[in-house]
Amino acid sequence: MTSPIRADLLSRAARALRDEAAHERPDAIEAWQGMHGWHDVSRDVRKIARRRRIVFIVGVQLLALVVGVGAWAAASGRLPDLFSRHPAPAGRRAAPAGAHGRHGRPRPPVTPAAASPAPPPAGPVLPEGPSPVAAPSIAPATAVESEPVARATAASETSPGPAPRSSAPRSLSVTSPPRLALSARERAVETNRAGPLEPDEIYRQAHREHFVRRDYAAALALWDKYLAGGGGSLALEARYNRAIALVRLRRHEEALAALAPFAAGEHDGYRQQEAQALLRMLHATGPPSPSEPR
Amino acid sequence: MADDADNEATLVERLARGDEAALRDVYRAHRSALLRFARRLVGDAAAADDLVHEVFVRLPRAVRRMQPGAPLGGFLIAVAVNNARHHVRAAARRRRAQTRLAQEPRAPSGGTPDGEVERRQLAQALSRALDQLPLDQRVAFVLCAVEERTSADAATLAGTNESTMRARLFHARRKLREHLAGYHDEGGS
Repeated sequence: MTSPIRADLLSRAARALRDEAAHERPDAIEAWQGMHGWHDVSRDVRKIARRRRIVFIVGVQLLALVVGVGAWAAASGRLPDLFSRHPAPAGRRAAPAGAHGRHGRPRPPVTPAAASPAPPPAGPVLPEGPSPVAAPSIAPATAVESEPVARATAASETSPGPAPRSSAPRSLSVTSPPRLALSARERAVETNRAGPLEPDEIYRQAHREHFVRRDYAAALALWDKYLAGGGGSLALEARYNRAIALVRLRRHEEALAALAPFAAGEHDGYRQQEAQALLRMLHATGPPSPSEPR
Repeated sequence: MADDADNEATLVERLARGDEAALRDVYRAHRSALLRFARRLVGDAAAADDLVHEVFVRLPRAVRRMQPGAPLGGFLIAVAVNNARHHVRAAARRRRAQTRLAQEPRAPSGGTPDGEVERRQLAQALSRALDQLPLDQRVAFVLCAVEERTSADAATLAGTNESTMRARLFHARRKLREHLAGYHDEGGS
């Protein structure tokens, strides 16, 4: 319980604090303090205003810089490079020379017939990554996944070329991971066990083996299987991909034989330049020595 | 009365535009009252000066948040309350250091007929006791008990409601009585 003395003490203490604050400084000192204090306040207010102005100007300049860089990147075609860090199929990530233009620009989407990737350099670049034609053959797989019937019908009615390229990598990356742990042999067994496959499904699997998993032996087997079944609407592209798989596997003579019709322009110039470039490269490098690892 | 309100509204408008002359006018008109409040709140002259300085430096931006028609003096106190925390801590640290060093031995009570020393000692004891309180309760006590404002007025200044302010004041008083209980035992008076 609070005693009256303590309550009184608290009141007196409050009064003492009130009086002390009220009578602490003589008027002259108070006036001097006030004037001095105002100078300090004025100086600090100006300083803060100046700092804010500087921050604003720097911010505007930074913003202009970012906008300028963005505009430059968009104009020079580097913007997609900057923003394409999200997961993409390994085949596409590792295709710097073929999948990009002379200045590293990503090639705009074109129809397969018009696709003419930059010829491979003189050096043997193929074994290091997916072939320059890896990208075009991704699209059919996507089309197969999304609307196979419509795509197959349209393709058979129009032209023998593959379907236009689109956002294939995303759909591929979604479908492929659960099976990545299987070996090529297991996958082949699994494929056979599942019964006869539709040509489109074979094409899709071959494409995945080739450009996503980079299992060229499995891919070659599936390309052969696809072509053995008549090939369907994507036979020409499958034939070219098969040749690429042979190059990857360093089956020199077979690769030369497979590329020769393309290089000779037997398919209306389809992949002619790429095939010629590959042939030049194969002739330059010669057949692999037996001890050379594949 | 209406003229005063108009003048103050104009002043606030000029302040919000960053008019330095307006800030100077406000400083001259309100500094003393604000300093007294700050002195009571933090219990230390130097810390009170710092707090007042900070309030006026922040005022040109803070005034943009001011409700139209609110008294400027009350708004300044509200800004001071919002910025008082580290000044209160600084003042409390200084008082603790002084206490440890025992630089100011307490004079025997009743030594001066006018009770000046007694009053000063009591004020210092209260400041030390206030250091033990949370800032909210400290603000409540200073506004209501020291400055003798109504709880509604204090609640407005502290940005809370009246019942909360009363509760804070109640708890503050209870704790302060406990802290001041030893004042007589220590030979205060």
